[in-house]
This record gives sequence, structure tokens and C-alpha cells, in this order.
Amino acid sequence: MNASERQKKIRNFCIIAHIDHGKSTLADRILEHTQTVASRDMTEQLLDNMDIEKERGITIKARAVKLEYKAPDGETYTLNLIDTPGHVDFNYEVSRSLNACEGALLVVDSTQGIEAQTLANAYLASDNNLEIVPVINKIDLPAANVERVRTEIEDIIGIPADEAPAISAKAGINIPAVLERIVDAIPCPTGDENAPLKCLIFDSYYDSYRGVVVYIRVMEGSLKAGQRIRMMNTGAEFDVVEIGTMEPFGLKKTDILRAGDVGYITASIKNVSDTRVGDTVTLAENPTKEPLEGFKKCMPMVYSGIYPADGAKYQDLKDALEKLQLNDASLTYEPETSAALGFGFRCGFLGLLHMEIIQERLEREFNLDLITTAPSVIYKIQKRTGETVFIDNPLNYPSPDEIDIPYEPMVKGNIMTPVDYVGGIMDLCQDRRGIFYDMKYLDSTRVELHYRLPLNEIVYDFFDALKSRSKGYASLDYELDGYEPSKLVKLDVLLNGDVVDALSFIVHTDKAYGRARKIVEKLKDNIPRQLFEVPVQAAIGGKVIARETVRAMRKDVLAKCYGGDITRKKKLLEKQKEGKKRMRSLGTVEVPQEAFMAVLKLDE
Amino acid sequence: MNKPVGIYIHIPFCVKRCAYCDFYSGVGIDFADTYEEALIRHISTYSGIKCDTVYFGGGTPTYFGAEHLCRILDAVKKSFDVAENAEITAECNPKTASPDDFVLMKKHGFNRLSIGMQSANENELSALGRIHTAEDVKETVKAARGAGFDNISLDVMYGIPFQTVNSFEKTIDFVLSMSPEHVSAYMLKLEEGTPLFENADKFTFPSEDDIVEMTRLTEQRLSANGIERYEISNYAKEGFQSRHNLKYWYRDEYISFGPSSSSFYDGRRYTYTPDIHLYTDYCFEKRDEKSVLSEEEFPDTNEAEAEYLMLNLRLVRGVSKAEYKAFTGKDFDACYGGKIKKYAALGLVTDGEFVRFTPQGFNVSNAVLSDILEF
Repeated sequence: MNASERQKKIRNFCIIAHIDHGKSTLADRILEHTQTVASRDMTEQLLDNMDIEKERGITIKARAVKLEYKAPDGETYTLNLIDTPGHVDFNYEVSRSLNACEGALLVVDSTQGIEAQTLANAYLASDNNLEIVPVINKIDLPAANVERVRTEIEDIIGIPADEAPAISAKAGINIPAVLERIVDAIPCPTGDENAPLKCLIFDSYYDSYRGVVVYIRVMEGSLKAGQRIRMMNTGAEFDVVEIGTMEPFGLKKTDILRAGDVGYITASIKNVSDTRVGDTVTLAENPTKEPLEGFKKCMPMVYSGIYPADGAKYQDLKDALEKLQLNDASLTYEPETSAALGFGFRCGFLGLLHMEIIQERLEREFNLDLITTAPSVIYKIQKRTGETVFIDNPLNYPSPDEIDIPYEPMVKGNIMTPVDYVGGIMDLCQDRRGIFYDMKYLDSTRVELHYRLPLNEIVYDFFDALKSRSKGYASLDYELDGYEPSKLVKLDVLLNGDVVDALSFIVHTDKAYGRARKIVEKLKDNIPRQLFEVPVQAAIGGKVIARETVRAMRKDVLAKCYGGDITRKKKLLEKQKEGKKRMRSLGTVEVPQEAFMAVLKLDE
Repeated sequence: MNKPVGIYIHIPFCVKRCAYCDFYSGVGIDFADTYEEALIRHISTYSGIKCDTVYFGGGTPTYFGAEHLCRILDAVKKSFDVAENAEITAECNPKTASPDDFVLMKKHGFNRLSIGMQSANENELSALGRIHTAEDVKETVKAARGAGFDNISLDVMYGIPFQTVNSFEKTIDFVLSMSPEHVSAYMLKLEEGTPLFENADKFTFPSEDDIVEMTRLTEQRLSANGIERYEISNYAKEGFQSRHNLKYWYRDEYISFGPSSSSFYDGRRYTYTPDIHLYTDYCFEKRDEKSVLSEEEFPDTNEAEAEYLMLNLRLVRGVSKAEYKAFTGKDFDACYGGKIKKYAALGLVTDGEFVRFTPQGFNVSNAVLSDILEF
């Protein structure tokens, strides 16, 4: 397919990088240099809209922006920059964004070199047939080693790097070279403007005035306001209210979007489930024959229960999850009931970071107080009846006599680290039941370790442990790698003889005792004394393997009543009663929410 | 039909601040004349109300001066209809009153003394910032007896620095050797901003279990000597229960004078600010009453019911289901039966015609009350 003259002036690209290698800063500089945004109007990291993104320095949600670039050859190019998340948890979002592009800038920190996510993202881009344009960043730092990184890119990723611009996004060095590489190296889009409409949804969000705003890349055909569109996957149809492009400071209405363009659609869409990311948009009349090839289907890897701290806020939580899911197709949830925590949702996440971010967004953006249960992976249980079931919730774990063989999910873990920390990291992987595959020297100072690890050993605190054993230098990338038969047991926690369902978890037999001790000790330290003695037990089946006791409260009395100040005494009791209302009743035991959270964070 | 009220008069003068006190006014004794005049002015705004208890609390009323106290008592008798057999109490700290002071007070109508001994152990007393010794307590009691006081109460404290179960037994032995008619045993509460709070890390305090053992010892030892518990922290020989303090627990009325004093009269609970200068300004009509109130409320039916329970349950006799019905028109068991059963099963209350805390229950009464009461 030949590109039209119009398409020859368009470049659709994204930026991929390991976390902290300077992706967002480079995006800012590109915006500045195309004078799309005057530098005095620049706020740091314009593309990262969300507070959490700015604070954590990561990009969670893809954002897109259209830039006008006047090149030295005298031509003006339209550059559509689609920002992508950098963390391994968000591979799905990366893949959505990649599908809308023809090329990717691969940013590598010249002081760090290739990291695990650099590689993972580069492979993903390559799988999607994107032209990868390496950029070597942070050359202003004393530790920069441009030539070493150039060699690494060629040796490890296997793409030529001799033309990779050496830049500093932060100091604004050599940015024009990056723009020239975009125009020179990244192919322009193709696609027949006269063919039936075929658009890719790569992002969407809910706007309370416009309804759902859908970000699309037009692959074939063209689209105007007023036309009736159909979502090929869901079958839903809408009349387009407005189309336009994403400018740095907001949406800008246009008359037409044609093959090769990146833009948005509004169509009074109320129901978020009608705009699935990855779906193909076509016209109701004269639709395209085949939808675009599906996005990589993204499966949650980690599950946990999310409950409102205040049971009355259940509906609020439901609404919030629904809204978040609109912006984050990788989040799944379904209603769940816990005897201890009441009504809530079982939520599926791409990983632990994803889980933390969703929690934080629910709390910040929707003002909710949450209780989150310990994360669980999906276990595969072969029952004696021959039936196979998948369990993502310890509550549903079959009793031992029903189980023939339990299987647990495994991952291929790829760890990159300076050689100095290899010993400590190998000990860590060993401790986490990892199976060593091999070790590769990337150069004289850095190695790549390959392990096969049970996912459930990674979802707790593996990242933190890895960072602390490598002074923050080691990085991890992993992908699911099937199931293995395992020795799994369900550990129950009993307060005053009653099982607290929300605290149950599934654990490998070898780890059960250690975890049991840890949790009963933590509970003992965090549960305030009750008016009676509370045994805290951890049990497998009916067998108690760890026990602590919270002694009964013996003294809680205000004896002195100064000069008959009944009001003061009353206020004290009222305050105490208020405090009690914030308690969670677990059977007969009252536990403050903070204590509950502390226990769930088992590894701190 | 109107029951006589109680009168409380607050005397915020002390030789020095005790380490645990968060009521200290900081006013010098040279302000005593002005304060007396202010109180008398305030008292004289009342007339004809029946009263059968008068209580001078502090602070240290005996440091303020016996003559001042007597003149104020005269003013009370002039403005109120004080019963012939009224209970008239003054709090008194050792080393602040002479035998002559006691003679004068007795002659003027004071018939009860509440002596703040707190402990019989010197290290504990000095950690509390008290100026007296056990020996001083002995002399004070002797002087009071000599002046004819036959109703003497001693205050002791649990939970104070250096205290142990053993040292507390010494305090109890000492108390019994004084043959008091009444004993108050209070739990020390560390209040923020007090010197003791700031220096708490310099002292060892008895454990929760030790304090519980001390409360048990108190009840056992005093009872063996005919001094029975009648309220959470008060013990008395038969007929010597503090009539003034009982008014608080029976929700009877009391009118109070002085900064930081609390009153309950005519359906209104109110407390004056702790600032003595604001209070005296009010007495001299330089400010209105509103501006010297730190608390004011008119308990509604719900609150009255809650108060009734909270206060009655402080008494060993507990709350009478029949009286509760008469007061509220409601059936006690229908309202609270479920929760009472739960606490009875834990041995914290006993349930019958009267519902009352057990000794174990008294120790955790806040936890139970805050669960039961609906304000």
C-alpha cells in the first residue's frame, strides 16, 4: 500500500523505556521543540496528567498528543506522540499503544544501560512490527557511557545504534536530532482513505460532560461527525457527536479524520462497556469486512478483595471501579462477600504495582477508605473427581480431601544486576523456590539471571527484596510460564475460635509455618485488648500450627470526676464510642481498621 | 417536691503545683481577698434555694485560709436555705492547716474533711510533687480529730510513679491506722501538659495488672475493716458515704461557684472557664455569664437516660430496673438486656432487680459503658 501525500507528512510514534530512564522528560522536550507548547507554559511532565504519575515518576495511562514539526527540509510534519507506561505490569497498555504507531523511540539511560524493561518493551515493539529508534539519554551526567550503551543496544537488542542520538532530555541537549530521526527513520502511516472505515480504540476515558471520549487511530477510511458508527466487537452503535485531535492543552474539534490520523470520538456514549479498548470502530453503513486483529489478550495475574472500610460506601466503590475500568481495561472486578468484611469486590490486576495504583486511585480520586486483602495468584486444582478448577480466592479453595493435585502458576523471571549483587540475588531466588536456568554476562560489570519462579513468591515483596539486596540497581521482568504441580495448603486464621475468612491464604507447605508465625504475631501486636482473652491461631485444615494470645483488657476506667463535671465524662465516653464505630467486628472480636491493614501487609 | 441542692465552691489556690495537676490556676495567695469577695458576690445572687451539702474543693481550700472559708460558708448560709444537718466538707492537704484552723472551721459548721494524702511512701509523694510526708498526714488527722471532726476521708492514688503492689499495701496499712470514715481511691491519669506527663519516661509506673491487683487489695482490706465500697472510687463506713458526691451519681442538682466548676441545675449543665480572672470579672459584673462558660448543655430525654445509666452504674448498688422504668418509662431489659447478658457472661456485671458492675467490671467500666450507652 502506498502512502498518500498527506500521509507522508505524518509520523505516529511512541516512546518506550525502562522506568526512570527519562521517557517523560523527553516527551516534554519534544513538545517544547515543536513549539507546540511554549516553554514558559511547560509544566514538568505534561503528558503525565495524574498526580500519582507525577509523584511516582511513572506513566500509568497512555496519553496521546498531536504536534506540528517544521523540519529543516522546509516541510511541516504532524507528529502523533502516544505516551506509554513503562512498567512490566502495564504490558497490555503498552501493546495497545504500540498498535497505533509505526515506530518507537527506545530511550536508554547512558549511565545505566539496558535494563529488564528496556528489553521487554523492545521485544514487544518488535513483535508489533514497529521501527525501533534508539535514543541514548542522560549524557550530561558524569557517569554517562554512550559508547558502551551503543554497543549494548547492538549486542543485546540486536538493532543498529550507530545513528542513535546521544542526548540529555533534562538539559535539552541534542533534541533536534531526535526529531530528525523520527521523520527519517519512522515510516509514515499507510491505509486507503477511501476504504470502509477501520479504527483502532487504544484508550478511552469518561468525561462527565461529553460521555466517553474514545481515542482512536484510523487505519483505513475516514470519519466525520454525524456518521453512525459501530463497535465491531460489542455491536453497539452510536451517532458521532464530535471528532477531533488531542492538542497539548485539550481536545480540538476537526471536520474529518482519515487513514493514518490519531484522534478522538465522542458520541454520547454512556456505557463504558461499549467502548472496549482494542475493539474496531467502523461505520454502520458500509462496514469494513474484518475487524483489526485482536490486541494481545491481557489476563490478570494477581487478585485481591477490595472492601469499603465503611460498609455503606459499597455502591460508591462499585461506581468508582466502573469508572476506573473505563480508563483501565486491564482491571477486572466482580462482587464478593466476606463474613469479616461484608460486601466488596474481587479484583484482578496485572501485577502488584497495578494493584497498588488502583487502590491509591480509588482512595484519592474517589475519596474512599479501603480494606484490601492479601494478594493471591490463580491456582489450578485437579480434583479427585477429575474436574479441574481455577482458584483466585482462598475462600473457594477446596478441602484437602477433594484435591488430587494442586498446581501453581510459574513465571520466567529475567533479572539484570551489577555483578556485585549476584550472590545475594541468587540467595533470594533460592529462598523463593526459584529454579536457576542460566546466567549471562552482558558485559564485564553486569549480568542477566534467568530463573523459573512460582508467581506467588513474587507477588508479595519480591521487588522490594530485590531492590534492597542490590542497592536499587537490579531490575526484574517476568512473564507467565505455565503451571507446576506443587505442595500447597490453605492457611486459616482464627480469632477467638472463628475463622476470619479475609485473612485466609494459600501457601507452599515449606513456607506455611513461617508465614503462620508471622501473621499470628502481627495480629497479636495489632489487636487491641478486648474485654476477654482472644486466642489468635493459624491452622491448616483443623490443625493449629501457630498460636498467640491477646490478653483481656483489665483496666479502662475514668475514676476521677472533677467537681461533678459530667459533661466532660460524657464526652470522653462519646469519643470512645465513636472510636468503636470505626472498628471492624470479626466475629466477637473488634479490630480497628488500621490493625487489619497492618496484618494484611504481611511483609513490612 | 424540690430536693435540696448541693453547693460546690472551687478554691484554685495551692502552695505549689502537683506534678499531675492540669487544673493549676497559677494565682498567688495575694489574690485571695479579691477571690473571696468575688465568690461572695456571686453567691449572693441566689436566694432561698434549699441545700443540704456544701463542698469546698480545690486546689487546696485550707491553704486559701480557714477564715476565708468560714466567711464564704457564712455567705452560702445567708443566700441559701442550708439544712440543719447539712454535710459541709472541705478538702484539705497536710501542712496547710493548723489545729486552730480546724477548731475555727468546726465551730463554723464544717463537719467533714477530705484529706489528700495520696500515698504513704515518700518517694511516691515527692514524684507527685506533693509537699507533705506520711508523718504530716498523721499530724493533720490528729489535729482534725482533736478539733472534733468525726467524718474524715483520705484520698489515695493508684498508678503513680514508683508504686508497686507492696508499696501500695503500705499505703493501705497506713490509711487503716488512721481509722478514716471514708476513703477515695483514684486512678492517676497522665494529662498532657502536666509536668508528670512531660517527665513520664523518667519514672517507672506500675503495670496494668499491678493496678488491677491494687484495686482488689483496696476493696478487700478496707472491707475487712468495715469500710465498704459504694462507688467506683469511694469507700465508706456505714452512714458516712459522701452525700455531696452521691448527688452527682443520683443526677441530683448542684450549683457550683469558681472557675472550672460544673453545675447541674434546672435542666442545665454548665461549666465555668478555668480562668480565675475571667470568672472574677463575671462576679464583679464586668462580663456576662456566656463569656465565662466553657460548657453549657441542656440534656434532652436521650441524654438524660444515658447520664442516668452512666452515673447510676458508678454506684455499687447499680441501676434499679424499677427506678429506671419510673424515670424513663422504658423497660430496661428491652433496651439493654442483650448487651447486659453478654457482659454478665464475661463476669463484668451482675443482672437482677439491680444491674451492677462487678469489681472486675468497674475496672473496665469505660469500655462497657461506651458500648452500652446511646447519647
